[in-house]
Amino acid sequence: MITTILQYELKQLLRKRVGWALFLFILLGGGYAIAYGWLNYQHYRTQIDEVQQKQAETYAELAPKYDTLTQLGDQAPERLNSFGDPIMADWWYRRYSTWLPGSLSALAVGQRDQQTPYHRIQLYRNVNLPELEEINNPEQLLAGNFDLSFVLVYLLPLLVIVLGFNALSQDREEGILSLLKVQGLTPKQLLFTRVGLQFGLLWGLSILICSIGFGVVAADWAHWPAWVLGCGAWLILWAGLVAWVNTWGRSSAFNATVLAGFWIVLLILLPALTNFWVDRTYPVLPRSEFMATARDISSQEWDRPVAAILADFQKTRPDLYAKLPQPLRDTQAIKVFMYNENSMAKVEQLGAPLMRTGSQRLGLENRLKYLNPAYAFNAILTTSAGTELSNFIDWQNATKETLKQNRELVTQIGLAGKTFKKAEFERLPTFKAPPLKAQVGGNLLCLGVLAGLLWLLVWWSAQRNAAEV
Amino acid sequence: MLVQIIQNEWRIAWRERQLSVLWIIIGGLLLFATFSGWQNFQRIHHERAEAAQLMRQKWENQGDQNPHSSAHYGTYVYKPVSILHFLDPGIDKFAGVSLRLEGHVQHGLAFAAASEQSSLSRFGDLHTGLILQVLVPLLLIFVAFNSFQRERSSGALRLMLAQGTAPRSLLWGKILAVWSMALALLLLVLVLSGVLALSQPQLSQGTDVWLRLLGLTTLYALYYFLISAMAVQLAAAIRQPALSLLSLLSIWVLSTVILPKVVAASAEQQKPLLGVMQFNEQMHEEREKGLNGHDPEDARSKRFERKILAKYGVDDPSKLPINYDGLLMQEDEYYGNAVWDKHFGLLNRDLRQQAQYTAWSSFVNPFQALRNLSLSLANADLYQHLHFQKAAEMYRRTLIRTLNEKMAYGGSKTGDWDWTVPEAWFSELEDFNYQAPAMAWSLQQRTLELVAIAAWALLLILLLWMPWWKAERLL
Repeated sequence: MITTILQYELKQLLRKRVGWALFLFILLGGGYAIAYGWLNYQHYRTQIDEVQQKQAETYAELAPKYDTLTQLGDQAPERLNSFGDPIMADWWYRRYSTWLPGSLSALAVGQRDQQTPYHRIQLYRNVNLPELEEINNPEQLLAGNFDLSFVLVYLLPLLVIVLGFNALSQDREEGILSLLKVQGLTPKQLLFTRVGLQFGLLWGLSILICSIGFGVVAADWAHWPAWVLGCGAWLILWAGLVAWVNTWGRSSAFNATVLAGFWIVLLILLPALTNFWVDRTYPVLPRSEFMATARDISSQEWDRPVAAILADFQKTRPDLYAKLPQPLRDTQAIKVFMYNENSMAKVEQLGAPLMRTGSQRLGLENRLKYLNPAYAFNAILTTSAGTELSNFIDWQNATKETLKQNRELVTQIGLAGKTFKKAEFERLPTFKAPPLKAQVGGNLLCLGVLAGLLWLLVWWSAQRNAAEV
Repeated sequence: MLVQIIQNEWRIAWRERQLSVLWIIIGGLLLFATFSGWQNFQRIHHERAEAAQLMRQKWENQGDQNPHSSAHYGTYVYKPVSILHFLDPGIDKFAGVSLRLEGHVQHGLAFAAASEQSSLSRFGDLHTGLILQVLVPLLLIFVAFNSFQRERSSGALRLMLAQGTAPRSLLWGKILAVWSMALALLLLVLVLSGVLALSQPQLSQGTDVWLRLLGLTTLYALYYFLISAMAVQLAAAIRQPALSLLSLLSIWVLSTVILPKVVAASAEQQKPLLGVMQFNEQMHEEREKGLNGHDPEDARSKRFERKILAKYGVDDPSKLPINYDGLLMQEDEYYGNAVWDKHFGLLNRDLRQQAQYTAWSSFVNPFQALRNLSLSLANADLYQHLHFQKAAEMYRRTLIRTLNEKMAYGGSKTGDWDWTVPEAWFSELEDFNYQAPAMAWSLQQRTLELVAIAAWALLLILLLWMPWWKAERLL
């Protein structure tokens, strides 16, 4: 019997003009989204490539100078003196840490377009004080991106609704349902088969679009299962909602109204309310005051007497202080490093709450995901693409680590009164990207639990309303 | 007759539990969003006002300083938040809010709040604008989609038409009824907004705020008329209520969710913006090599030095009665200004072209016109952002010129970098006082959207006067 229903339903679905139109719309929308994301990614990639190329060019330009400094030692021409100075060596070698999510970010832009993806690695730099801010059109940012994740999160549920809102009601309105009942078919069987078939077709469609997307942007296929499973869980949830509403035994128009309401609630209202909650609990801290205070710390520190700076330095960095050649020579040069160490320590302490807020916000959002399943699905897509705030924070932390290594090296060499030669130049740290942390398991579990609960509700509702159904 | 039809529609809508509950929920959400938006506005307003005050204090208490050190020390200015932010925060969280002002360089606005948020923020924030733009039209669709079906199935429609009710009057009556339901919600927002604005008289001084509030109300009222007219005419034309609902919902999704993103994406592809690194490199290069690429900085400085020495009739800067360094720095500022004007000008041109591109789409999608005009009336759009940036840059140029002139003519000599000016002198320099543009200016930037929304209203009214609205079509 089920096979007969399936065959019949498939025929019916293929005859449904609205369904075909929407099917094509999703395919075209998906195609457009992939093309848009790819172009957007290329533009982004070009910018990062330019930064990396500049770094490579600087290296190629400086390396021979350090070869000369090493080979000739004190006999090196005077014009190369500044390259031997540790602070100047650090200054001349322009290195950047770059945030470069993989090509999968073409399919889920996430927060990539909001962030400045490079940071200078240099003695005086702090990750909280970006030198550059990416140029953007804020009205474009407000409108958002038409990427594949948008199609999957927003548009796919619409197709579920359009195909399934009248899964039972249409037959009842046309008087067919009673005929089917006479033939021994229960409405529950009919409903579940129909919704199941629609789910299968839509999941197939989403797998097709995702696969095209992965192929076109040459993404890492290791993330493909996460996307496919995420789409599956998201569709099961929506299919559950469609089935649940259909068990109420109301008209097609009523079902469509309620399902449209669910769409609004799950994709507009709940995320907006969650945002509201998060914003009120952990508001984004104003950064420019921090910058101004950091500027003051820096100038106050510089204006202090060398003896006071030295005393502080002895307390904060006993390890480095112990290595200072005694008796102290050229206190002015030493002052530069100590001033930097002291002010950086203070600025980092000042900037700690700024770094913490992002993680606190993410933590709360993550806890609220059971109330906001759209977030969970979106997070599967964006974190596996490496474009979520959490990925950006990982990059910031890695940048911070590189800055620290750089500071340690330049300061140690400088305090020891040494100059830079090829070996020291080669030791200047360059940025290593942190491994991608995709948050798939927890979010899939969340979608799975919610879908499971919903389907239990569907089962219960179908039993309870058997007569109306 | 019209009044009776309207009364009847209200009665039916009120009796339908789902609709009345939906109306109450949306009304409640509107009140909540407006009130919490007001609190949020106050928080942001105080935050920025305090920050601006703090920066001024730091400026005034910088101690005795060399004017050039002071130019490097610089200051920060903050984009004040418009009082109507509580109704439509617009681009506020996506655009930078503070600008560093210092010598030798023109910065862009920095520290957009959205850059510190996760992609959850891209789903949208709960604010009055979101509810008015997205949810209220949806309510109107739910009210209107089967407004003829009820009377068709009960036979009341046939009876009304037989009794001489003109089909057009019936359409108008239903449109006005649906529209009035939205107007009631709008009135609710208007009253609450007025009360809230009045509670802060120092922020709502002048007529501009009230004109803008009135403008916003008129705009939304006009948009709701479009939605009501379209929904009722479609409901009259399509006999199956499910199909009518599906069509209206499809139009809603297309215009509210899909098209704005598609248009924004296309605008971005049409006029891609330069990366900040490339942008800065270009300016840096032109400052060094000259705007034409053949006038290096050294040569320019030498030319300028010869000119000044000739003017004062001496052969060395050290013999000048003034501080040549101050003059040279200002000359460099003038050159820098020309470079920045060129590049920021090109950037702003590209941004404006992107905005124009989306503006043209208002002729296809009235929602785009509504959104852009709402941003503009709330003083929270791209044009106002650029207006602020220009005002801040003008202030920076005056400030740096004053500092350089003090350095040049204040009594120091060339090379005297330790020379200082008393702290009190810095306090006398005028603070940055931004005057947001008036409503007329804002609307002038959005002429296309104004024409588009008026054209849409005209089109829908014209459709109502078309000869096809006969009794047979409605039955």
